[in-house]
Formats: sequence, structure tokens, C-alpha cells
Amino acid sequence: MNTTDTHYVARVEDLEVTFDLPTGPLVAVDGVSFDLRPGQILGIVGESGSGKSVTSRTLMGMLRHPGRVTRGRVEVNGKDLVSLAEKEVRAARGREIAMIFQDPQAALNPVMRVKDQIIEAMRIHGVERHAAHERAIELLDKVGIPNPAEAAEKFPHQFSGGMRQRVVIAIALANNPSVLIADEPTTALDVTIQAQILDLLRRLRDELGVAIVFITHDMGVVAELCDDVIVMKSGKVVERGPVADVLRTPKDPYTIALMAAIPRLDSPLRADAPSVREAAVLEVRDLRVDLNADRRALLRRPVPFFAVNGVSIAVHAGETVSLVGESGCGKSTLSRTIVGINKSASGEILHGGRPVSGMDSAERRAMTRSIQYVFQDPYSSLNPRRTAGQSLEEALLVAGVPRREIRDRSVALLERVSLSAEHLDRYPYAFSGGQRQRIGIARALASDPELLILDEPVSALDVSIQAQILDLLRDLQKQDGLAYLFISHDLAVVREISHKVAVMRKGQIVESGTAAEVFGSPQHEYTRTLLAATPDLDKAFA
Amino acid sequence: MLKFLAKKIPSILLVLFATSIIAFLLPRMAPGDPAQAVAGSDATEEQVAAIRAAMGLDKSLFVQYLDWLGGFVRGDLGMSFVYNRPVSELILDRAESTIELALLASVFMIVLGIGLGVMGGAARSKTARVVADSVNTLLIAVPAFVVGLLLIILFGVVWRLLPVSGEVSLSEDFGIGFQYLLLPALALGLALAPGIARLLQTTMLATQGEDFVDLARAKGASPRRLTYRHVLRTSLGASIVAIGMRFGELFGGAIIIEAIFARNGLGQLIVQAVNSRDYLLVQVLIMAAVLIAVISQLLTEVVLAAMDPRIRLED
Amino acid sequence: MDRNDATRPVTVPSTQVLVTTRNAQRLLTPNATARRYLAAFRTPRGIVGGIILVLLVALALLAPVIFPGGYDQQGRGALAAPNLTHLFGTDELGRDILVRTVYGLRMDLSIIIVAVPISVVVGTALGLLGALSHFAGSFVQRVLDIILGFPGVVLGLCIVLIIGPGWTSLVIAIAITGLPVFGRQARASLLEQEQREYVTAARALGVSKRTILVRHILPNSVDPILVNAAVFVVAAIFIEAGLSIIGLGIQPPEPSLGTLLNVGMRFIEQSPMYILGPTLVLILLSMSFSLISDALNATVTRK
Repeated sequence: MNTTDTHYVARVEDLEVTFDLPTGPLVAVDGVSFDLRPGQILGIVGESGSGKSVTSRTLMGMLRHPGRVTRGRVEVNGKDLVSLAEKEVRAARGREIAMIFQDPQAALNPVMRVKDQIIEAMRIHGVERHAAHERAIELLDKVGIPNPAEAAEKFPHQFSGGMRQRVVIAIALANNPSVLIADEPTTALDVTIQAQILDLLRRLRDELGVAIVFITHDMGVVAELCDDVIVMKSGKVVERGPVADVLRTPKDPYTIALMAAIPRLDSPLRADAPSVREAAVLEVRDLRVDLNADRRALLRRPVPFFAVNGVSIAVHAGETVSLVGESGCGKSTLSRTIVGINKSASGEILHGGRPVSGMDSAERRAMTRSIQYVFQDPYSSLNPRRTAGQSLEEALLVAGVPRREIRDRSVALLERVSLSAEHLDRYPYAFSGGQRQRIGIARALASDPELLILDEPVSALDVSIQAQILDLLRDLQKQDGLAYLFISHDLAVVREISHKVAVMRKGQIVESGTAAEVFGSPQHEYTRTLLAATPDLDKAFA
Repeated sequence: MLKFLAKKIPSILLVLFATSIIAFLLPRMAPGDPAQAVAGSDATEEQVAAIRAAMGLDKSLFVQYLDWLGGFVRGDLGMSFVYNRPVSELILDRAESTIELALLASVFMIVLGIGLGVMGGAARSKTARVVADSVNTLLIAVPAFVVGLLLIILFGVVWRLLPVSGEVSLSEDFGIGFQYLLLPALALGLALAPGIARLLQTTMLATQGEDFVDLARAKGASPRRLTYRHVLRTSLGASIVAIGMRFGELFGGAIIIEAIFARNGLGQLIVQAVNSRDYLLVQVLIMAAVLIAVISQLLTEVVLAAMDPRIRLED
Repeated sequence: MDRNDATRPVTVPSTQVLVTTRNAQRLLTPNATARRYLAAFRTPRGIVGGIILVLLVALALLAPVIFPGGYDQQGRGALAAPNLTHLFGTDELGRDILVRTVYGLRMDLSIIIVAVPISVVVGTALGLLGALSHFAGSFVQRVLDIILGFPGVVLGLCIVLIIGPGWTSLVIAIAITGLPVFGRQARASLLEQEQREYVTAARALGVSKRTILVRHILPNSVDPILVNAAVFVVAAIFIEAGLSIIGLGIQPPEPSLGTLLNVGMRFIEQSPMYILGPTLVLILLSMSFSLISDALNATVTRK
């Protein structure tokens, strides 16, 4: 139970932030107000374009040009940052209010030792060198870095992603700030590492009493960590309140829709698994892929690195098999090897029961047409200089479609993914992320494939769009009996869409089975760790 | 770090080897018979043949090449038939002049280049940036020898402040020698500085937007600290590359500057050698020029690697 | 949630992407290629550079019309300072320096217009070979590295050594000097493009290597090539002037900007104004290309 403490550590009152663009002024933050008490963890949730990041940067006084505050107050420890001179704002930055960033690798100066980066934070605010040095080591210990004295001498590239983020947190805490702003600090991290960082933040709040403003697009993380939450859309706050209330009984239609779109770990599993009759469309037996095989060294043969180390998996018509794993587990290498981008070192790939190695070029081309790929990043998988129609045309030409039929076939493909003929002549920049991904799917369908390999197809999309794309994929599968090999790191998404699941770690499959089996009674310890680490909405209600 | 160096050696050797072959073949592809040229137009057949044998031109190409290469490695650079003196002597004579020029020009180039680059890239004062940019744009369009000519007119003809022709080596008389050296070195330095300045400026402006600069800003760092401790430090790498690449150009530019300022350096030597078809001299000088370019490139990469802890610590 | 949301075209305003997800790529706006390049000429640098270049080229093209007497009209009154009849003065044989400068400009332009495009096309082709054959690509890079080891003037000297001075050697020297520049640029572009997902997508589709090269890689590499070409023109001008000024370029009585400087140098004490005319034109010529390359760089290259 919180005591009604009216001492606020930060207050935002009716904040309006406008960007002066060449195309006209854009209001990114429109009348936002909220308060922050000491030790409170406030989540700010929104999709891209909601204004959440702009708000956080305004709190730090670090608005990017050409943005400016056109109305409102931003008070930190009683001082209104908007009305202060730059010099005074700088004095508060890093001392009373601090920030941690999304990408720890980019956020740390690569040529400065870790200790120097922490010490700098203190020296700027007048701490004497020797004291700063000692405190730096203390801080590293506090954020959970082993052997802090040794670690302090190292450079950022010598740490893993999670450790780097801890360093960033240590820097932020150097001067004991009252407010810590965390801007999507775990988005770039693996789920297990994310769980650790969230634990760390919670612990720091308990020990130090620092208030945290946690910005994210992930409701699950909010459920895990935050006390209260505000939901932002198009620069406005549409809902606010304690986490349990907002998540359980949202009132605003946007929030309601958002909650409905979020894949949950307790959602019903798919009940429409096809009965397996014939040979698998795609089967992989004991595959090994050596990523170092292509590297030509002058004198010595390079040490082999098996990113895929003995993997067997099968996908039948009409079913979705998901491959789950964290970064570096080899899932992308596996998928690229199947389509022929990487070469396999040993093992078999079979298409409809026939091994690839025994195929002649005609059969191999047929296999290429039959197994197609959908990429993760809808921004970069389409050539920015070619229209949607041209990208589809290229795929259709390779599939052997005669030129005169191309336009009709392109339109047909677009309609299958709920787009239309008017989109043919547009360039990628004119589409939203969801639309681009639809075009990517349409391109993959150009050759009438039997199987689609989807490599993190929804990870780069907003939650609401994500739900639409997953629906589309389910519909296509029902209509055409497509087989999917669905690769993802997001267990909740996987649960929504899979019939079968395989969990991958360090090049090997540690557990596989139906979705019910893997989610219901996980056997392997790693699976259980993954499931436990996945932020789940239910935790808010615990 | 050692691994890094070891990886570079094979390609360097390859370049040097290929260059030696090119340097060897080049003069021999020129029309005309050097033995004839040395003997004179009214020499008899036997005299020409004798001279040809003395020059070693009667042996097969392959043998000539090996002879030359062997001598080169041993330090015996052969004999110049036009000057009738050992090549090594000729080179040593003139080397000091060119080295002085190159060194002082480098100093000018680095100081002016980095100075202008920081002015343009610090993004603090708009006027500073505009001034630096304009100066760069102007200088980049002017080759070293034109700068030299203009300096000659300004300081040698209009206001007779400095000598513009000839030289005195620094080791003989530092004061006077320096006066002779100042304008040519300045011309070279001014011509090569804007390339470096431009690159540094662009890199700095790009780095301003990086995340780690943002983090430093979030610590409350002053703009000055941001510029020098974070942006400049990480941007210097690019300018080091630019500087290294320009060392080769420095010697190329020296050739023309020496001609303009009537300095007796290696540049002048190579021009005379080309004009008089002095085989051995040309070969050696070409090798030397390439050697310098290659070594400066290697040094640049070493310095870069030393500055980047990611490479330095990879062992 | 309206299921049709994604199908209504939503133009994501560029600021939103800029402002929100820090790691989102800046939006690429590929208008028709020509329109982009023309936009370069609306910037201040583009305008100034463009105007200067147009004027110079017009002057050079119209030289035989404006100065029908040719560049070798000798007269009395040698080494006169600039005056009303001879705007740049006269040279040691009484020839009008302005006339000779314009013809010299003509000569320089003739060299550039042949040498630079050759260098660009051949250099780029060599650099992009790596798309077709890994081995060929590396081999070519080695060769280009060797050429790179020769400072520009030294390379020129080598060519002059074999062929003798003159227009042809200058063109060859310039063309060869430029090969590593464009070769390396093309290869860097190639390596960068190969990392892009849409190239991987094309490979997964089964598109042939040659088609990928022509359809995907080449169009996306053109921008830096053009900027480099403009910059290289400046280098080409300097090479001509440099070789001519030491007497190993264009030979008299034919004028080029460099040869005029060569002679002017000899008379610098008596007639310091001699070189001013050619110097001015030389600087204007290189400045125009330098400004144009700046303008192109700013408007045309995208990440």
C-alpha cells in the first residue's frame, strides 16, 4: 500500500512538443500530464509514432532539433526544466535525472574504457577523481557485473549485450539520480537477458528508491515491472492508472484493441492441425552448417564453427512448425541453408521425400520455386528503387510466368494479401510496415510455393499490425494448405500460430513436439527458462 | 596486433614485387636505344656494342631483372649512365631537400587540415562552420603548384619578403634554409589540407548523431566536452586514413613544386631521368616512390589499429 | 481494431520514424532518377558550379568562332601587362594570352571528356566483377592496389616515358589513375549491397547473378559513382596541369592551361600577370566541378 505521498519527484503538466518540419509543424506530444513519486515505476506504453520517446527526451531536456516545447511544464525535483537556462539543465542532467538507452552497443563509446565512461559521469558534476574511481567499481558491482575491478578496465566490445546494458545503467546511476528514464532498454536484448535486466531495475528501485519511467511498446514488460502505466497514442494520453486496472479492465477503445491484439501465453492453441498423410514437404536430417567454411585464410584452415550442429526437423502440408530460440542459436542460418544461401557441411535436406543432393538443376529450380522465404525487416527486404509491381514482376519472371500474364498475376497476388491494384506502382517508402510485409508475403507466393519460411516476419511490426499479419498467414494456410516454417524468438507469438514447436539453442534442437506438449509440459530446462523469462500479462495480476 | 600486421605482409610484398617488375619493364618499353644515346650519334657499331655490354643490356631481360633486383636488395643501386655516378650517390645528394620539403609540408597539412576540419565539424558556431567550409571549397579547387605560383608572386615579386628560387639545406644554415623552404612547403600543405579537413568535418558531423554522443549528453556533458572528448576522438580515425593516403600525393606534388621553386630534390631528379632515358635511375626512383606510398599506407593502418581497442586487443 | 487498417495507405511521415524508433532507417525517397539529380542544381553550390561550368564550356566550344585567328597569332608587344586590347596581356611571342587561355581550356576539356568517362566505365566494371566471380573480383582489386601505389604524377611520368608527351599520354595517364578510384568505389558499393536483404531475397528467389548485378546492385551504386566522377575531374585537371607545367604534357605551340603556366613561370619576374589569366580559368574550371560534386553529394547520395 502506498502512503499518499504528495512529494513528487517529477511532474509533467500539459506538455506540448512541436516539430518544425519543412512540410509544416507536427505536434508530437499533445497535452500530456503525469506525475512521478519517489520509487515509483511508471510505464509509458505506445506504438511507433505515439510520442512516448519524445516525451522522455523532453524530460531530459534533450529534445532533438527541430523540436521545441510549445506549452507546459516539466518539473524535476521542483525545478521547471523548460524555463531554465541550458547551463542549469545540463547541471540537472546526469545528476537528478538520468537516461538509459535502447542499444547498449551503440550507446557506449567504443574507444573509452568502461571505468572512464562511468567516472566521466561523475567528474562532470564535480566529483573528485579518486572518489569517482572507487564509486565506479562500486556501481559495477551494484549492477551485477562480476569482478568489477577487472571489468572496469575493459572496453565495451569485450562485454556481452546484457552486460553492456548493465554498464549503461551503472553510468546512469553514478550520481544517485531521483529519476531514471529507461527508453526501450530491453527491446534489443534476448528474452532471458531481458528478464535479468528487469530484475535488476526492480532491485535498484527497492534498494536506492530511484523512480523509473519505463518506455516500451511491450505490455508484457509493463505487466512484469511497472506499478502504474499510461498509454499514449498520437501524442495524447488515452488511458492511465495502476497496471492491474489498466490491463484487466481497459476503458479506452485503443487500449482495449491493443490488449486484444497482444499474443498471450494463456491464449488457446490451434486446434486445426492437419492429419499427416504424405511425405513431409520439407525435411531436414542431422544438418550441420559451418559458417567458417567460406573464409579463405592464406595459411591455415580456419576453425570450423557449426552454427547449425545436427538439426532434424520436418514440416508437412498445411501445418505450421515453429523454430524458437534466442539470438545466435542458429535459426536464421538454418533457414538460409534450406533455401541455398549457405552451404551445408553435412546432413540431408529433403523435399517431398527426395534429397536435395541428388537433384539435377531442373529439380533444384523446382524446389526453389516450391520453398520461398519471407524476411524479417519489411523496410529492407524490398529494393527501395523498385515499385511493388516491379518486385513482384521479378519474382513472377523467375517463376516462369509469361510476360503477358504478369500484370494480372501481380494484381491477384496483391489481392490475396488484402492489397489492391493501386499499390502496384508505389514505391516502398509510401507503404506502412504492415503493408510492406504483405508485399513481401505476396512476393513469396508468386511461384505458388508449398512451403514458406518466415524468418521473424512480425518482430519489426507494431503489436496491432502483428495481429493482422498473423491472421493473414492463418487464412492463407487454410485456403491453400501452405506449410510454414515459422522462426521467432517470441514465445507468445509462436504459441498463437504453431501446430508444432522446436526449441533451438546453440545450433541444436533441445526440445520439440506439438505446441500443447512444449508449452504445457516443457521437458528441457532451457525451454522452461525461456517460458519463465517471457513477460506475461498474468504476472501483473499476481 | 601482431596477427594484424602479419596478415598485411603478403599483400604488401605482392605489390612491391609487381611494382619492381613494372619499374623494370617500363623504361625498356620506351622507344630508342639507350646505348646509342649514351654513345652519341657518331659512334661506331663496335663502340655502341661495347657500351651496351658495359650497361649489361646484352643479357636476356630475365637475367637483367635478377641482376637489378639482387643489387637493389644488397644496396647496390647501379650506375647512372647519364651522370656517370652511382645511383645511390645521386639519390642521397638530393634526398635531404625532398625530405625537408615533405616533412614541413606534412606539418602544415596536418595542422591546417585538422584545424579546418574541427572548425567545420564542431557545429558550435554557424559562422565558424561557414568560414571553414568556404576556405575548404576554395582550396580544394587549387592545385599545389598554382598555390605555389601565387605565393611566389605575392611574397617573391610583389613584396620581396622571401626567396622563391633555389634552396639552402637546413643542415647548412637553418635560418636561411628555412626561408627557402617556407613557401614551397606551405604551397604543398595548403593544397593537401582541405581534403583532410573535409573528411574530418563530415565524419564529425555524422558522429554527432551517434548514440554514444547522446549518452554523454545525457550525463550532462558540456558541448565542448562532447566535441573534443567524444566526437573528435572517434572521428580522428578517418582523418588518419586521409593523412596517410596523402603522403604518397605529397611526394608526387613535390615533383612539381621542386620544379617551380627550382629546388634540387628527388622530384627534379626523376623528371630529368625521364627526359634523358636514364634507365636505372628511373627504375630506382619509381620503386622508391611506390615504396614510400606503400609504407605510409601500412603505417596508417597500424596507427588506426593501435587507436581502436577492438583491434589492438585482438590476440 | 479495424481489420482494414493496414490496407488504408498510411504515409508514415518521415519525422515519426525519425523521432520515434531510433534505429529505424531513414525513409528512402527514390523519385525518378533524373529529378533527383536535377535537384542538385537547385542548391546554391549546384547553381554556382553549374553556371560557371556552362559558361566555360560555351566559351571553349565557341572559341573558333570568337577567336577565328587561332592560338598562334604572333604580334609585336610581347609580354605586355593586361590592358584593354589584350585582357590577359600578351605572351613572349606577342600572342594574346586570353585567346591562348581559351584554346587551352578547350584542350583541357577535350582531355577530360575522353579520359574521365573511360576511367569511370572501365573502373566500375572492374570493381563490379566481384559480383560475378569472387576470384576475379579479388584479383582485380590486387591489380588496382598496385596502381594505387603510384602517385598520380609518377604514373604520368611512366606513361610519358613510354609514349612520349602529348594528348594521348595525358588521356591514358588520367584514365589509369582513375581506375583504382572507381574500382574501389564500385567494389565497396557491391559489398554493401550484397548485405542488403533485398539482394538476399532475390538470391533466394533464384534470380541469376547477372540479373541481380544489373537490376539491383548497379542502380543503387550509381550515386556515389557520379559524385566520385565529379571529384575525379578535378584530379584530372590537376594531372594535366601538373605534367604540362614540368614540360611533359601538351607540347608547344599548342596551349593547355598547364603549358601556359609552364611558360608563365619562366617570366614570373618580368611579367607576373602572365599566369594570372590561365590561373583564374584553371581555378574556375576545377571549382565548378568541385561545387557540382558537393551539390550532388548533398542531394543525391542516400544511406
